Amino acid sequence: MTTTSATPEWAQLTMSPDECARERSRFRRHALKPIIGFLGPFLFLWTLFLAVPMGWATWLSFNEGGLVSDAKFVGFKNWTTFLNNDELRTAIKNTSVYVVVAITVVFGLGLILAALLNNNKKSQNFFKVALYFPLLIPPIMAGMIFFFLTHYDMGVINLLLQTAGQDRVNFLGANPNALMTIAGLEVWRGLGFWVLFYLAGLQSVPTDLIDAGKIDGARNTRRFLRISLPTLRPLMLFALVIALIFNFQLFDSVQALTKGGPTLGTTSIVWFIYKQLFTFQQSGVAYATSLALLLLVVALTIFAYGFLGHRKDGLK
Amino acid sequence: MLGFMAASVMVLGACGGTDSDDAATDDTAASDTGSSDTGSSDTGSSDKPFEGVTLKFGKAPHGEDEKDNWNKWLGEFTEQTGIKVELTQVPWDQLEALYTANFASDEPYDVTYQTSAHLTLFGEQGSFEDLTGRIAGEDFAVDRPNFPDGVINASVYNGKLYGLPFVVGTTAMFVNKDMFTSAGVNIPSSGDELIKAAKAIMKDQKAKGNKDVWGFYVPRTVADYGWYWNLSDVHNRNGDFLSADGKTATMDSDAVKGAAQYAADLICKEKVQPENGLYNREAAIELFKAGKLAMIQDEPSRVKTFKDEGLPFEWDIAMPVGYQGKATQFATTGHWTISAKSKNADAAWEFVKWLSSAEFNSTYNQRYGFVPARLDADASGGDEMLARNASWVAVWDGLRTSPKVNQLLDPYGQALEAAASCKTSVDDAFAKAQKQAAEILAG
Amino acid sequence: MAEVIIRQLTKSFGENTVVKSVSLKVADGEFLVLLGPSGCGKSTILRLIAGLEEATSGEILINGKIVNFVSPVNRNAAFVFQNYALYPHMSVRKNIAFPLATAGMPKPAIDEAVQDAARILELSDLLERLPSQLSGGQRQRVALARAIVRKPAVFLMDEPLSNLDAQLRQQTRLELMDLHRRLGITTIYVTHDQIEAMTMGQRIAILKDGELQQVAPPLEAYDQPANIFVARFMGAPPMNLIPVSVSGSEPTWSATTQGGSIDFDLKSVGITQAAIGAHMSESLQIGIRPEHLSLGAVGTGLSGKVRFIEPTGSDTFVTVQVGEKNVVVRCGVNETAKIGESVGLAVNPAKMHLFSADGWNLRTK
Ligand SMILES: Nc1ncnc2c1ncn2[C@@H]1O[C@H](COP(=O)(O)OP(=O)(O)O)[C@@H](O)[C@H]1O
Ligand SMILES: [Mg+2]
Repeated sequence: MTTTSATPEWAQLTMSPDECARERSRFRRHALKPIIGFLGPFLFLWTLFLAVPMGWATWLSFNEGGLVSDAKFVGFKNWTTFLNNDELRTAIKNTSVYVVVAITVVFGLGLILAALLNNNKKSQNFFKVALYFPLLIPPIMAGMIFFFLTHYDMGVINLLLQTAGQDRVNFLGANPNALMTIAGLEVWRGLGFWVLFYLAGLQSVPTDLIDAGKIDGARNTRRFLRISLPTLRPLMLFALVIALIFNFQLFDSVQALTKGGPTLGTTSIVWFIYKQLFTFQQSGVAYATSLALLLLVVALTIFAYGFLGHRKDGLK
Repeated sequence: MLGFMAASVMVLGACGGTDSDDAATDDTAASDTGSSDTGSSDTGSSDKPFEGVTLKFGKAPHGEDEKDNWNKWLGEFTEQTGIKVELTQVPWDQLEALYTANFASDEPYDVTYQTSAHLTLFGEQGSFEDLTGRIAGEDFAVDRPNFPDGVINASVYNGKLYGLPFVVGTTAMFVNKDMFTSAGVNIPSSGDELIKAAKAIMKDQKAKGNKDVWGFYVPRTVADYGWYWNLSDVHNRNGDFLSADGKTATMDSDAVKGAAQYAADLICKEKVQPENGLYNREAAIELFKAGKLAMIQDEPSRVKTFKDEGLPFEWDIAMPVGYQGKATQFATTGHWTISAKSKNADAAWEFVKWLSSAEFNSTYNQRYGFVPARLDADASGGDEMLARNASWVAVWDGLRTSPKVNQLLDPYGQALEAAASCKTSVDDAFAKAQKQAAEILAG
Repeated sequence: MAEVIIRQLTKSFGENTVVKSVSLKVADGEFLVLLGPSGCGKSTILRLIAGLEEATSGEILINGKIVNFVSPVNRNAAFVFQNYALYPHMSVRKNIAFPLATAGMPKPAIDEAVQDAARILELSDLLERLPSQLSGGQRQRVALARAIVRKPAVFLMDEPLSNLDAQLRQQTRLELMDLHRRLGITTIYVTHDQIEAMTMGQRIAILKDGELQQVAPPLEAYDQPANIFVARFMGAPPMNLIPVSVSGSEPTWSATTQGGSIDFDLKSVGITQAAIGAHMSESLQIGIRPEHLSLGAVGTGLSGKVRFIEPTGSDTFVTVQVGEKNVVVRCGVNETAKIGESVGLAVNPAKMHLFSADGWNLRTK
């Protein structure tokens, strides 16, 4: 390197380029240390609780047995078995219908209730508790309540319907009632969570924006639809992904109430997996299906972010 | 009781030999205790070779009070033998999942209760010890003759006995006697009679202004294990869903289809049973208790519950109806198993012998109403209904056993539910079931 | 075009009364600045006028009509928020059009109005951008465009310049004044910056703890502050205050401090004989702005010692300790005083104020 005559003696560089590069990499390594320190435990746990079981599951999906008994390699047999399974096809259909219905209803109701509560600060606390209550009821008691609500002859709902001169409803014994009943039950259980979630979201919408809306003449509904809701979009996207992941795993109420019936009308993907894994001890088929479900949910998540999240609107 | 004492003495002789497989740390202590106890056992001063051993015990409950009862019963066992037992109640609806996890671990329950369907399922995967040798041993010689060969053999698969039968189930038909008297009909013993009686009762009740009364109920849905309640009728028709060797499915046989057709006719054609799925098992029990149902098939454990609750009408139990003069009883068998991985297998066998003793069997079943698997136990406790129920074991015909039995019962139950839902013909439903079953057996 | 009147306006949040019986009259087309330190209730008053808060008591009139129970949009007042409150998911065009679309104006008319507003505020090239893609000054202009687009009767601006850097603030100040000149819309402008207030306001309303202190044109508020609060709030550095005891009688009075005494006659300081008679025995203070003091040789006026010297380029401020008080003097840039030097302070008695013990100016207008 040549120096201009204007550079005085004391301003000459003293480090050689090599030396500089060496020092730079040393400095960067040093800066990386704490990051590795933080990430290390996470990577370890990730390996232990995610990567290893996933690898194991993948391996078992090419085997018979492997849980209680020894594993026996069978190639792609489990994968072809589950791909050709009519029941699984029904399960995918049921689960998809359920996911669409449950998420639409729970998000719709959740948002509306959150909006109403947001405008009504006084009764907020009461409703927060009331809506969250279903999550706090022990499952056994919830089951009993449900039984006495839905009994065809003696259930409260049907008695009310009869008094009102309406036809009684067969909640769990017919299709598509059973799937809708289960969706209703899951909505009832999940509603409180989503109301609180959206209420928190609505309360984080800057008050200035709401005030600007008032000044600009937007009434409640329009303010909600045109100002609050768009502001909540990133949050809703996240909620949608969470709800997708969560609801694709429909299982509890199927096991408790219908065992997949009537005539497979409530057979869900996870119920199918459960039957294969435990009732039939067909772990290979179960793992193959689980992995496929995982891929499905990952694909949906990517789709959700790609499709719905793709708009440069400055809401990062 | 004498038999039990003798057996205890005899197990000591075998103790040193069988224990040698056990973990080295336990080994010396166990054989030391064993030899010293053998020496003193003749004097009768100490008869507790497994003193200090703790067994893990897994069982699904037959009643809400079971846990309290076990606390009492296990206390007695510990007092007698010095063996401690830790009970884990395994809920029925999580049973398969929890046992799978447990048997896959290194320290499974030493002793469990298993029904027919699960006995072979887990047994064939190596979870349970084959008890064939144990029940042939000298320490069981006094007890063995009390177990009918038919009951024992029904639990054998591939020459292996994975559990010692404890109870055989039965199903009873609970009848509202007031309704029968009112309509002037007798309790039916054949399928045709059942339809006639049901219709007569429904007509009579309607005439008396009691609307919404049904003649008959038995679960036909997958959710309430429809296959379980239907297999006796298949057996009545001299058939089964699986060949005796467990290798061929016979879901499209006349016996299976005939029983399914009868089940469907009760609902779809004769309309004496409510539309399938309108009432599940518990909902129908509520109907019966409310005087809105003339006959309901259920487990005899309800006898005690109904008596305790005091139903507001006269009622009785009857043998479920037969077909062309043949009436059989169906239910699964309940067994005591010893885990293959148990580190205290001999103490576990001691416990299993105690559990299957005539005395304990009587105690247990006087409460839960099952039929003991051994002839010298009395489960009735003087109760006439339970005694009658117990006598039905003479015509008992159990579940064909196979490690794939759960898988096979699924299409069977689905087909039955489809037919009973009046939308699919029995032929179509069971042709499909047969095809699925064949695939399962081939796979 | 509208006149805004507020009568005995009071607002409490629970126990806390933040606006205390404020009465104010803003003439049609006037530019009134609401000035006061942070937390004194300026925004609250503005929000009350806009209808974003409900008054606890008192009346608000726009164009002669009581609007207390009229919804914000029907008050026909546009609000410009401190942080602009632009809708982040809408383009500049949609932001500006929003109030019109809400009002149900037909699309061609909206387009035209948006074009007009955009032209006035030089936003025509930015219409398709999102707020996040604009600079602070541009966002400010979008907020203004959204405010003017529906031709409001009143402009309410809540510290609209405080998020801009100093240079941009000054430029936008001029633009705002120009806008007001062109549109002539009655404007109430909230700020805590006395320079903004002085330069922009046709009148300034000064507020302290929810109470109105003085309403006056800028120079009047500066020259004849109603009380110590106004006197100190207007002007930088603030007016000097020196405790005095007053003695004498017509025609010669003198105010004695620790650094000497100042002779004055009542006429030149604008005080009546009755007023001074009533307050003479109190602990009074004189107030004198730095520019009305000058340094001189020891012996002229008050005497003290130089403590600090702060050249700013255009002026040099010299702090002199008089007794226990520091007194700031505005001097020319060529001032030669040295720190520690003893100096004399010449006071222009005609520019002097005399404040009573409770802080009110004894001067009568
Ligand atoms: N919504 C509110 N609830 C309770 N207190 C409030 C509310 N808004 C303003 N205040 C209080 O009122 C006082 C005046 O606030 P504000 O009008 O915003 O002051 P400024 O705009 O002059 O800084 C402050 O003490 C503030 O804490
Ligand atoms: Mg403010």
